[in-house]
Amino acid sequence: MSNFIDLGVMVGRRRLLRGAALGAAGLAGAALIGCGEDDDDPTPAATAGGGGGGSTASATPTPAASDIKRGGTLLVDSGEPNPNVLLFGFNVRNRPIQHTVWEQLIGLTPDFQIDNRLAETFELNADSSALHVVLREGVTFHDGRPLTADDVAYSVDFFSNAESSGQLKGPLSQGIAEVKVVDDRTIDFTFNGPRPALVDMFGLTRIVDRNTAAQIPDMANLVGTGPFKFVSYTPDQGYRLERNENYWREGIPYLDAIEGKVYADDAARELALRSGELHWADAMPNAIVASLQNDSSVRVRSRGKAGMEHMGLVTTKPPFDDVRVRRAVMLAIDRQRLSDEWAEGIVAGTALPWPVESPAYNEDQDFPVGVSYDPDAAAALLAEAGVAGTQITLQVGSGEDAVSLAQYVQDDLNAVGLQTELVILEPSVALAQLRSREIQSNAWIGVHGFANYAHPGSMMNAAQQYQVPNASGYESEAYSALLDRLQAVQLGSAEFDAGVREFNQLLLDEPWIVGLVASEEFRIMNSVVQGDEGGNLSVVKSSFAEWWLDA
Amino acid sequence: MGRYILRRLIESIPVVILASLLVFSLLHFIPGDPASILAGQDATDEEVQAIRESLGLNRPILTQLTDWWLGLLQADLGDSFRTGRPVIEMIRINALPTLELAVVSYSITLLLGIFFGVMAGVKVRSAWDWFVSLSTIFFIGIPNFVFGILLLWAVAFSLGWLPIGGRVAVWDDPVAGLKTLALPALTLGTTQAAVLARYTRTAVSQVTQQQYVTTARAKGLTERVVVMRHVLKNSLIPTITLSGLQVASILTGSVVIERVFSRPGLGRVVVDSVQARDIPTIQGVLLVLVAVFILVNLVADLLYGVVDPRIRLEA
Repeated sequence: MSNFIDLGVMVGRRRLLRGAALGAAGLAGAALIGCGEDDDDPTPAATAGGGGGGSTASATPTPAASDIKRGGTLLVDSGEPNPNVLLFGFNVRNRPIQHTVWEQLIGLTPDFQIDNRLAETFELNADSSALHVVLREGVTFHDGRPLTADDVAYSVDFFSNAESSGQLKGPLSQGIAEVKVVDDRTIDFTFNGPRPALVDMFGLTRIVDRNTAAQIPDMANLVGTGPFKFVSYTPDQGYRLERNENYWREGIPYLDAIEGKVYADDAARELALRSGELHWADAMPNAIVASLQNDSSVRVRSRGKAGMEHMGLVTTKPPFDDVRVRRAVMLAIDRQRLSDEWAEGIVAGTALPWPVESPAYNEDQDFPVGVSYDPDAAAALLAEAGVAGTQITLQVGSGEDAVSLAQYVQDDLNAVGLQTELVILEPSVALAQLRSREIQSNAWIGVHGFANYAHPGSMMNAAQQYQVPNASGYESEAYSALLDRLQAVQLGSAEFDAGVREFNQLLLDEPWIVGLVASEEFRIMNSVVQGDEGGNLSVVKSSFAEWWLDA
Repeated sequence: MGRYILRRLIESIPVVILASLLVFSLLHFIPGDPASILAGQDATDEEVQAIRESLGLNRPILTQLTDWWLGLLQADLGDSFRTGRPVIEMIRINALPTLELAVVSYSITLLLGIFFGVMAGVKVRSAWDWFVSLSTIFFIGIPNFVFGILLLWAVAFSLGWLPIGGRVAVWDDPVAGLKTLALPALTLGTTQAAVLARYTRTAVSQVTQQQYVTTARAKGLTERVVVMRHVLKNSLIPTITLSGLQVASILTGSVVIERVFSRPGLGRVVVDSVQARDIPTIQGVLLVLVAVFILVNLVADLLYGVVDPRIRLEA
C-alpha cells in the first residue's frame, strides 16, 4: 500500500456555487416542500448554507461488498477524552466517541452538500429563516427506545442551554426563535431571520437521549443512535465501543469494536502506528507527520485547513492602535519560512483563515499573491509611524509548538525594528485573558478553527477573534454591519461574494488578526485501515462506521 | 519491635500532614485555573465562574484545606475535576499497574545492582570491575526516557519481540502481562541498578580490606563462603539505605516511564492531572506516594536490625 498525503478534497468554488444555485433554483418560491422517501441511494442534494435547499435521505457510497472484511477491533488513539465537555468540545480527544455514539440530523459531504443522517428530510425555506425536518423511520437509541422529534427538540435545547458552554450554544440560542414538534417524526424550526449558517451548526448538533444526557460527564452510560455502543471507559486507560447491531443502516458498521487507547508519548504512538499495534491516531505533531510521510506502513491524511495559527494584535493601545504598524506586521512575517521550518513543510503559510475549498477563499487575497513578505516595506511603515525600535510584548501559552512559533515571529519582528519580548504564560492564564478579551501584552500567538464550514457566518459565530467584542479590541460600525450581513447572506449570491471579499480585505488592510500558517490536523492510520474517505474537519460524517480492517 | 513500629508510624503522622499542607499550598499558588481549563476557550466568564463554583474553588483556601483534611479522615479524597470520579477510585484503578511496575523494577534493581556491585567489589581493578564501572556510567548517564525509547525502538518495534505499549494485568494473563511489563521495568530497573551497583561495589571493596575478611580467608574458607557470609552481610547497610531511597526514585521515575510505555499508573495520573490542574487527584496521589515512601523507609530501618544485630531498634 503506497503512502500518500491527501491534502483535503479540493473542490472548486464553481462546482460548489453551481450546486447552490441549482438547489436554490429548484426550490425557489416553494417553501418547505417535502422530499423523497428513505432510500440508501447516495443522493447529495442541497448545499449547506444555501437557502431553499432540501435533501433526500442519503448515505455515503458503499465499497464493493467483496472488498470489505467484516469484524475486528479498530485500535484508535486521539488522547484522553474530556468528559466535562464530551459533546461540547470539538477537539480531537473527544472525536472518536462523539462521532460513533451519537449522530446528527445531517452531515456535510466534502463539497459541502447536505448528507442526511437521522433526518429523512431536512429543508430550509427560501430565505433560510425556517427549517422543516422529518426524522428517519425506525431509528432507535442504543437502549432500544425509538428516536422521536421530542429528542431532537431536547437536544437542541441541551446545546443551547445556558449551563453548557461550547461553540454551539451562541449560534443555536441566538438563531432559533421557535421549535415546534409536529408529530413523532416531524419538527419545525423558526429562526430569528435568515440564518443560512445554522445548517453548519445542525451538522454539529448531536441528538442525545433525553433520559441519560445529564449523565454524560460521568462517562458511564453514553446512549445515542450511532453505529457503535459505548461499553466502558477507564480514565487514563481508554474506552471500548462495540457494534450497534440495531443500527439503522443495514450491514453497517463493519467493525466489531473500537478500542480507544491513550498513548501519552508521541514517540511511542508513532512506533505503535508503524508496527500496527495502533491503527489510527489523530492530531500528531508536525515533526512526526513529516517523518511518517515516507513510511509505507502508514497513510497520512490531512483534515484540511480548519483555520489559522495567528498573531493577534491589541488595537486599543500603542503601537498597534496605529493601522500602519499593524500593516507593517502583516508584511514582516516570513510565512514561507514558517511553513518550511516551523511546520516542517506540511502546512502552508497563510494570511486568510479560509481553506482553499471554502467559498469564502480568494486566492488573489491570500499569501503569497495578495500578501507578500516585504521586510523593507514593513520597516518603512514603522519609520513612518514613528515606532521603529519600539519595544512590544508578545504573549503565548506555554506549549512547545506555540512558543517555538512565537520565537519565529519574534525574530521577524525584531528584524524590521519592533523589539519583541516574549511573555510565556501558563496556558490557562493565556486562555483566561483571551476569554475575557483583556490581553495584558501588545499581541499574542493563538490559533482558531471553524473556517472550514460551509458558511462563513459559522466562523464569525464560533471564533471570538472575529466577533465584536474581540480580544484585539477591534470594532467599528462598518465591521459590525458587515458581520450582520455575512450572517444572513446566501451562499452563491452576489452579496456573498462581495461580503466575503470585503471581510478578507478588511482583515488585510486593518489587520487585527495576522495569519501565519494554516491550522491543519493530520490523521495517521496503519495501512490495514480501509474505508476512510479523508476530507475536511467540517465533514462531520459518521466516521468509523464504514471503516474496515484489511488484515 | 512492635513498639518501635508503632512509634515510627505515629511519628510519621506530622510528616504526612506537613506533606499534604505543602502539596495543597503549592497547587493553590501555582498559576493556572482548573475551571478555566475545564471550560475551554469558548466559555464565557459566567460559565467559568459557574464551574469554579461547582468545583468549590470559590471557597476560602482555609475552608478548602479543612474540608479536604476532614474528608481525608473519612477516606474521602474528593472527586477528580478532570474525570468527575472519586479520587479514591482513580487511585485504586491506577495503583495496581504502578505497583506491578515498581515491584518488578525494584527486583531488577536489587538483583542486578547487588550482583554486579559485589562482583566488582571483590575483584577491584579486574576486567569485571572495569566492565561494571563503564556500564554503570552508561546507565546512570542516559536519561530514563531516552533509554526507554531506544528499547522500544530496538526490542519492540524492530525485533517485534515485545509490545510497544499498554498493560495486561499479570494475573489475567501472566505471559502477556510480563511482556507488557518487561521493557518499562527494565528501563526503570537498570538505571537504579547501576546506582546501586556502584554503592555496593564501594561498600564491598572496603569490607574486603577488613582484617576479619583476611582472617576468614586465612582459615581456608572458600571465596564464595567468604563473600556470602562475611563480606556481603557486612556491606549491606549502605546498600539498604540506598535501596530504600531507590523506591522513591522508582516511583518518581514511573511518572516518565508510564508515559513512554503508555502504561496506566499513578505516575501518569499525576502528569495528566497536573496538566489539567486537577487539584484533588494530585493531592490524593501525592499523599499516597508520601505514605508509601514513609512505609518503605520504615521497612529499611527494620532491615538494619536484621542485617546488623548491633543496631537495636528499640533504643
